[in-house]
Amino acid sequence: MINKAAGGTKTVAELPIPCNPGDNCSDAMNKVYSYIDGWSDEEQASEIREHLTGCDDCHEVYSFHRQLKSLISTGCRSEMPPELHSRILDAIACYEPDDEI
Amino acid sequence: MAERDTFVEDTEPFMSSLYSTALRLSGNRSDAEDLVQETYLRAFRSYESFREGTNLRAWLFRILTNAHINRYRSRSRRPEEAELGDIEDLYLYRRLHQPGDIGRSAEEELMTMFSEAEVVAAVEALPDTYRMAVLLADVEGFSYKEIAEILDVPIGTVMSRLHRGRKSLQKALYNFAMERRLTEPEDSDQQSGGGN
Repeated sequence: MINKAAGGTKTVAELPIPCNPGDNCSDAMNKVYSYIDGWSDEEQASEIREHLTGCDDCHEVYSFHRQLKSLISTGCRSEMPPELHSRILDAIACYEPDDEI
Repeated sequence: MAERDTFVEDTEPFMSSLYSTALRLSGNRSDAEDLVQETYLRAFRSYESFREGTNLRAWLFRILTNAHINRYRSRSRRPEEAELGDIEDLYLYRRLHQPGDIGRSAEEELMTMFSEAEVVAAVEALPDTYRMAVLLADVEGFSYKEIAEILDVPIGTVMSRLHRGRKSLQKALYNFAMERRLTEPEDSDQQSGGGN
């Protein structure tokens, strides 16, 4: 994306995360992920959301990882074979207390 | 024993996602089907002791993951420990986001880059401990706390496994993309060394 900072291209080492001087890369990614996962506390979520609104680079990183999670999620879902359902119901119907499983 | 009808009614909605997870854990349909059946029978057997109003879905997934772990223990297969070296954060992002790229963003690349088969293969290549965490978080949407209860580990361990699992996944995906490029036919119109 050559129209970014004055002076043009950034090297890989200069990519945005972490934005906070106090964070290291892992900490920053943990925050991004807990935000994506929906499990950051409200205060932290609010901070992250605010940062992402103002920081294009970090927003892109956030967007990418959210997309990646979505890719995993849809890619890994499988349809249950229809006969499995009845097989399990039958197994439950036949099960007696001391049967070995 | 619990009422069969009540049990079936309560637990039936979760069968599909239990199967999906079982398939990713086992790697094949036959084992996955056995695993789900085993899960349901174990759940049925202890259903009377399940406290109504608590987290049924997490409870079922706990039975599933325990059954899976016991299966590979009984086959003398050790849960794969992480032998992976340290993988940098943003592994895939950095490699898709080439400096000087015009046009497609890394996110757009991602959307068209990997087949479903590759995603599945990358997940199934993860060591068991990482794979379970990633499946529970990314596919099933459990919270870190729920995953900690399901796997019976501290929350910190969940986060660590997720962090590492996700990085490993990115590396596996990237390797697929690279392998593909090696086998793609030469395109005389392509610039050498260029981005998209």
